[in-house]
Amino acid sequence: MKRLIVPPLLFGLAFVVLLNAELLEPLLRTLFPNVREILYARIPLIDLFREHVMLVLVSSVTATVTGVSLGVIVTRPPGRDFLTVVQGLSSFAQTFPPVAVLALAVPAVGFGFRPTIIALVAYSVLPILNNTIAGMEAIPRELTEASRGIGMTPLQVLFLSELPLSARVIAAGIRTSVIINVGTATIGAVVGAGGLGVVIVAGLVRDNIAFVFSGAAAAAVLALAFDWLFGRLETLFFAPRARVSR
Amino acid sequence: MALLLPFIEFKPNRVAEGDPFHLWHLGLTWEPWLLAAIVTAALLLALSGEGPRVRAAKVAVGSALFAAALLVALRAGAILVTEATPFGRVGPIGGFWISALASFLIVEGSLRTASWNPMIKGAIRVLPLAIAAGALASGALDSFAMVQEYINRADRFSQELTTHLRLAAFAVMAAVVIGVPLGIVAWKRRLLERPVFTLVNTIQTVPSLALFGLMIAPLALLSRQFPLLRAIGVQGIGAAPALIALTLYALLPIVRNTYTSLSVIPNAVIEAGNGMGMSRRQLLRFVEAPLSVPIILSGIRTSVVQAIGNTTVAALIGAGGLGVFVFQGLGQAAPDLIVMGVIPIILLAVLIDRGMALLIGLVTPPGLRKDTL
Amino acid sequence: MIEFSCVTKHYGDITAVDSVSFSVEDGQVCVLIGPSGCGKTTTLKMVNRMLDASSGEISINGRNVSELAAEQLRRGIGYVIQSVGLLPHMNVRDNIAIVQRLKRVDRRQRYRRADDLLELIGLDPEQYRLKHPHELSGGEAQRIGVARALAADPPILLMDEPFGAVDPLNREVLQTEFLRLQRALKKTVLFVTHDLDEAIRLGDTIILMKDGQIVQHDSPERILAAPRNQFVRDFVGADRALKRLSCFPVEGYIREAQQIADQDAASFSNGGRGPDSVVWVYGADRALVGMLQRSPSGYKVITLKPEEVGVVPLSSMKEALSRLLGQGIRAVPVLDQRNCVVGEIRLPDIEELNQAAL
Repeated sequence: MKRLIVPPLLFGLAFVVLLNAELLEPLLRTLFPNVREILYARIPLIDLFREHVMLVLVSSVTATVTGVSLGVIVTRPPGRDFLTVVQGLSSFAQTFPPVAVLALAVPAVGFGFRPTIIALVAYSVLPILNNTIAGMEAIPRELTEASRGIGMTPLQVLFLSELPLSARVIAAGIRTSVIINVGTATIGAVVGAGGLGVVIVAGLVRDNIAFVFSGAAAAAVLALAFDWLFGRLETLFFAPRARVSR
Repeated sequence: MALLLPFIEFKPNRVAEGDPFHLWHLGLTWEPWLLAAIVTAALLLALSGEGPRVRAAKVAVGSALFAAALLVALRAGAILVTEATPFGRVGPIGGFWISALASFLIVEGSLRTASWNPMIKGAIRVLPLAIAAGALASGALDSFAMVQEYINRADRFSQELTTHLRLAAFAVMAAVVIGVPLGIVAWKRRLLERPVFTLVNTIQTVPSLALFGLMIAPLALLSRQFPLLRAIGVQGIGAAPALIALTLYALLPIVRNTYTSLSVIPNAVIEAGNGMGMSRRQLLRFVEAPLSVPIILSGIRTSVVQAIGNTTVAALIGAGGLGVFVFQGLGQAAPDLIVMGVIPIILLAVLIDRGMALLIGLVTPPGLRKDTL
Repeated sequence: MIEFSCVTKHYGDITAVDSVSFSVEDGQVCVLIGPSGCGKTTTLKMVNRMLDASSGEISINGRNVSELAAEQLRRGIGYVIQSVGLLPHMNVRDNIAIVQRLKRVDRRQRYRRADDLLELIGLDPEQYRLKHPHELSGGEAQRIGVARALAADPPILLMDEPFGAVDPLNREVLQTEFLRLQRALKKTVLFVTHDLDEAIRLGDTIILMKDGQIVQHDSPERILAAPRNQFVRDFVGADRALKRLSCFPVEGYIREAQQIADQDAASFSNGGRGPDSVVWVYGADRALVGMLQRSPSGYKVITLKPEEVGVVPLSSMKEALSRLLGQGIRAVPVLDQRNCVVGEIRLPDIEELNQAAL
């Protein structure tokens, strides 16, 4: 019970403090006595925070839908021919650094929110796709055969048997994707996508440690909050049951 | 598609908007036909089923596709950039990139299922790189925008490349020195398992830019408090915070794999080793090391590839590296410069990944080998 | 000789082995048996100091093991465990040679020894020496485990339920192999098992343990015939008459068998033998192919699979009996390694052996 209450309280407190930066001012003043302009005033932190969350949500949802559907398609009989190629391509592309993908999106589509979303989706599809394929392939054949044997249609096999059985693995892929997205979205500030990275970059450009610190802290707390949330959701949905018994 | 999309663009100078050209409007004679012939051959092959012969033909056609696309681009560059446009430059766009991607897909798709010697496979994979490198070295690509960006900064490039590699290498080495013992401790002392993993997991969760940012403040404070530190180069901005952050980042895969490598050694094997009278060192040499080193190495592989990417970000806090060009390019809205910085980074990541895979294959004893490549 | 005197082992408050004394003579097989948790494995592991005794003294040929360096001690004692523990990254030859490698024997000599041992345990060196453990069946892996233990030619073998994880059919084969090897090599063996049939068949002496103490230390026959108390009687079970048959290898009860070549089978006429006699039919290489059976129209050949009906000289009489009953025939053929019939075992002999004891 303690683990359910304490972290959200902590994260909530952290956000309140970080987003109402006036509360933070005394601390920053003592930490960085030489910095004149302590608070980033151009855009309210709360707006940047909202932008950041939007970036992550839009890209993660798109990536999840794309990744899972693609993974399902290539594990069906008609799509199976492409399985090895897709698998190979996606694990190959995962060696590309996310920053590189983000930077390449700019020559392709220009600056702003759009290239960032494209880059985030393009990159974060990969872990979801990989895990969907891995999850599907790991299901013992007897189980899917048994499902067919009791008279399920192929769609029922997919939704009642295969997806629930591989959900845990797919969820792990989504978690990885979201965390990567939070991180890459931070760099999105450089290509004009907004988000909490804006404060960090502004601080770096203007040599203002206070900006850098508050932006970095906010981004870090956001990432940890997402990670915690996913951890909770995983234990909530998967811990007590859904172990494949043989 | 490769034949229909604009293939190459021409810019009269660096910042001008590009002017797209289709394959057929370039004023080339036979080259587009060669490309078209190869694409047709590829289509025919795609329809002609399986078999070792078809596979070999696919690899040949796929490789030829890349070579032909490069050739067309070269020739186009020579035609478009003339003496009348001394600052003119060309850049490959849609058609070229799709050809290159198709080439990669065809070759990789058939190599993956082929049961050829790994060395031959490796050679085929490196071939397009070699062709491109050859073209680059011969000066034939000099009219390309990315190459011009490179030529303008050749000295700076090699310097930043060295910085990039050095930062990533030092960070990973430090991470190995810290991470392997940490993994062993987490395995041996059950009590420390959770805290160790919570720590390294948390570090990886923090966005790289944020971690760099968080490093700056304390280091800046420290170096202000202790002039000695500043004297040896520890400052808020620069290599010191970058190295620390990169090292912290590289920890997770190494710690995790060290732990895993120990946990997968069967108890029976350890007992048998003890039972036949192995000393502690012999147990390490004959049993533990051969079984765990490949797994630890694959953790290091993940770490290095990640570090190459994260080092790019480190350029933002003044640590240098190839990220410098990327962020300069982004700052100046100069796409060619961005691409010039990004491509070597991707190549580095991919080459290191392949190289590590080969190394892991070599150190994996035959009895454990599945297929790491 | 292995000697235990008043050996005790505590784990915290628990006494796993409680003041145990016994000795194993050179060249003898001593089997430790008892319910799980009785301390038999702990007893075994104290010999090569995988565990150290809390008190008491264990000596080998008069030397106290606690005075020897554990590693040196272990290199001189063969050790076989149920889960085998072959090194997965080494091939069969390197696995067998590993102890000699620890002893810095040179490579040529090690490999020659490994090949010899493969021959000895009945695996073709050509076929097996370069295989890796994951390519072996459970029975094969366990044989390699035994070969590894024998590699440095140690006078003493410790075997901790070596055949426990092998299926029953293969277990019988491995036990027979073990008897054959032991007859040739005369090692001093301490053997832990929970399988009473195995203990009776392999042991020269059996130590039955309970709660860390020795309940009875006797020959297999004595354990069966004269259980010391109710615990032993329960442990031995009601079918001890049947179990006793495990004590006797069939080689002492072989009768001459009548056999003919398969091409003569058609023209065979009964030479006036009694109802117990069976006529075995052999093929081209003199290997068993079947038996003759009387039918209204004369005799006909019934095809038999040698590995299903036959026993070998080191099989136990119990095995012979089970083959007799299983196949529903009046005698079982005793075969040599090439499946040639060297004699047969008849039901009346088994009955007689059984009655002699009771």
